[in-house]
Amino acid sequence: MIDMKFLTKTRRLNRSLLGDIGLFLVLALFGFFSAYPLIMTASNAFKPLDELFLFPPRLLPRNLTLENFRDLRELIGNSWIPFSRYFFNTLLITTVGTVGHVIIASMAAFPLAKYRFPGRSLFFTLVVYSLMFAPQVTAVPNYIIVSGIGLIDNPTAIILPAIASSLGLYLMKQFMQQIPDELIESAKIDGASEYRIFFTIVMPLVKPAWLTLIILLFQRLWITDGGSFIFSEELKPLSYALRQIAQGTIERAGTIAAVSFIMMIVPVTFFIISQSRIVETFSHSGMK
Amino acid sequence: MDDSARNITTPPKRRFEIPYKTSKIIWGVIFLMPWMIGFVTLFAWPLFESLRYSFYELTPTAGEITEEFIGFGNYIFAFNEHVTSNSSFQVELINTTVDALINLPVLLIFSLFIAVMLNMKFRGRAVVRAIFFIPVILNSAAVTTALGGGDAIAALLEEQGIEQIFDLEFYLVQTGMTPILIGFIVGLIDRIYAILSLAGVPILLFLASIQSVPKHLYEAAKIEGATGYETFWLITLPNVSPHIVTVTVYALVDTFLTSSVSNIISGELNRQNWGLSSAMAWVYVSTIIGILALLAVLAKSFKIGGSHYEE
Repeated sequence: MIDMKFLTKTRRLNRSLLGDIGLFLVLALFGFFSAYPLIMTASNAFKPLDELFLFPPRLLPRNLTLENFRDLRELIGNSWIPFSRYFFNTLLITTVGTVGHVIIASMAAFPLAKYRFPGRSLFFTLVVYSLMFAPQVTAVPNYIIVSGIGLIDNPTAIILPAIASSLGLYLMKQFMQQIPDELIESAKIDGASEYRIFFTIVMPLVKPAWLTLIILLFQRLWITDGGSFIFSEELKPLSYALRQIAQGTIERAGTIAAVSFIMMIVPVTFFIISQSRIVETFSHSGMK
Repeated sequence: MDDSARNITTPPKRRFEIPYKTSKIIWGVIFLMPWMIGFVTLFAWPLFESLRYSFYELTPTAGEITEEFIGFGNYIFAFNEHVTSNSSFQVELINTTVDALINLPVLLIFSLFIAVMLNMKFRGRAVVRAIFFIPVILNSAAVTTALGGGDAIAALLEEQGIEQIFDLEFYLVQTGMTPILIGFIVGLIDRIYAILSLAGVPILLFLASIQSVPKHLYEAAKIEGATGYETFWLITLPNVSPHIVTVTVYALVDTFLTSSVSNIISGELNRQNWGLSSAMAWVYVSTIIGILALLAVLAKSFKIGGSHYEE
């Protein structure tokens, strides 16, 4: 049944079935290129140790085993700091950083996109330029300032710079600019406050944009290891702890595979969830 | 008579009435402020400090950093004298710039193409989208360390003379192909990987921008009998074009961030040559700005970018 629907739909769009197959093949080819590392990591995680060192490597494990995860659990159980603590740290940094950045950057983007005030374009140019600086550029002065505020060895030292980054502002501004002015004006005439316009008109309209932004921020913060800002063991994030485990020798290879699998599967799952949210929401857009 | 007419046209004045324009500015400031504070303290200020550092020789001493002004010394050193074990800053900078310029158009076309396809309705498309995002996750340092299996495994493989798991070039030589063709194929596959690993975020950005195109435009086009091909060129592309700029900026920065230039800078940073690393960072930032300025001129002459609705 589904196939039939698909066919009639393509005919209406005047596209050939052959063309669709061709497109599908291209997508599949590049998709395979992209997915290969994940498949490899996943299968490595379930391989017994001897199979990990097979050459040439096999794509699928011959004897599936959970041995690697069992080893990992044992290692975690023996760690000095309870492992849930690392997890909590990462969760805190990721959630607060992502949510904070999305809200604050979107709020800042709104006037830049829709208000007219002097210095607007200059301000925006500044933002664009600031996007081009690598973290290394500001590493040393940044450290001095953060330590000056007294945030060293505090998760805030990771969260605040993430919130203040200009990526979100840039992204949200570009998308808000596409909202027709008439929509905002009509809300204004109906008596909505600027605050209300922002939260009930503008934000729902740019949902694809901020869902994308959430993915980018989550991915960025999920892998943070605290860098030079956090040195207390009980404040270190998860990726630091897992990396310590991964730095073992050959007999740890299985555990390493399990660790990489966990580190990868969380952002991938998160991505799938938030991308499927985009599909659901876009049907009731206000543009008519 | 005159008075009553005036009363009708001008509404009764409230005591603290703020003109619409002023209230808009006030709201603008309220919306901008939280971000501004963070931006200035955590970005703008460090930025100017780092620009200043690039003209100084910084040496860490107990409790503080001593600064010594050396003018353009750091810049001159970075260009003329700096060498690493197998390369130099100058060489890597040129290589990365050339690479970025070659990759950029391919990357833009490729990611727009994939984004358009991923925007079609089919089962499990969230999963397929995720597949194209995997390289981005893989590119992050923490995962790479874990994936590399630590140095132990790499050392073991090297001992056995296997530096790459699958040596394509070697395999192709054995099939008796001409060297030019082999070089081409190997180069192509390398580039596919380079572009795939950069394309994750551009695809996402394009996807979001395609989803922001008003649906009624497509409906109207469909009713008028436009083909998929026409819909793409006349509706999708013009509406997506403001975001081409976004993607270009992101892709350029990303190229440089994952390049060996960035590695050299981090290396100098870790060796506590802070002045030198600041100078190098500023050199590469100026390179990116230069490229973007060039592209901006090109874009203007081809009328790409700018909001579709504001015209």
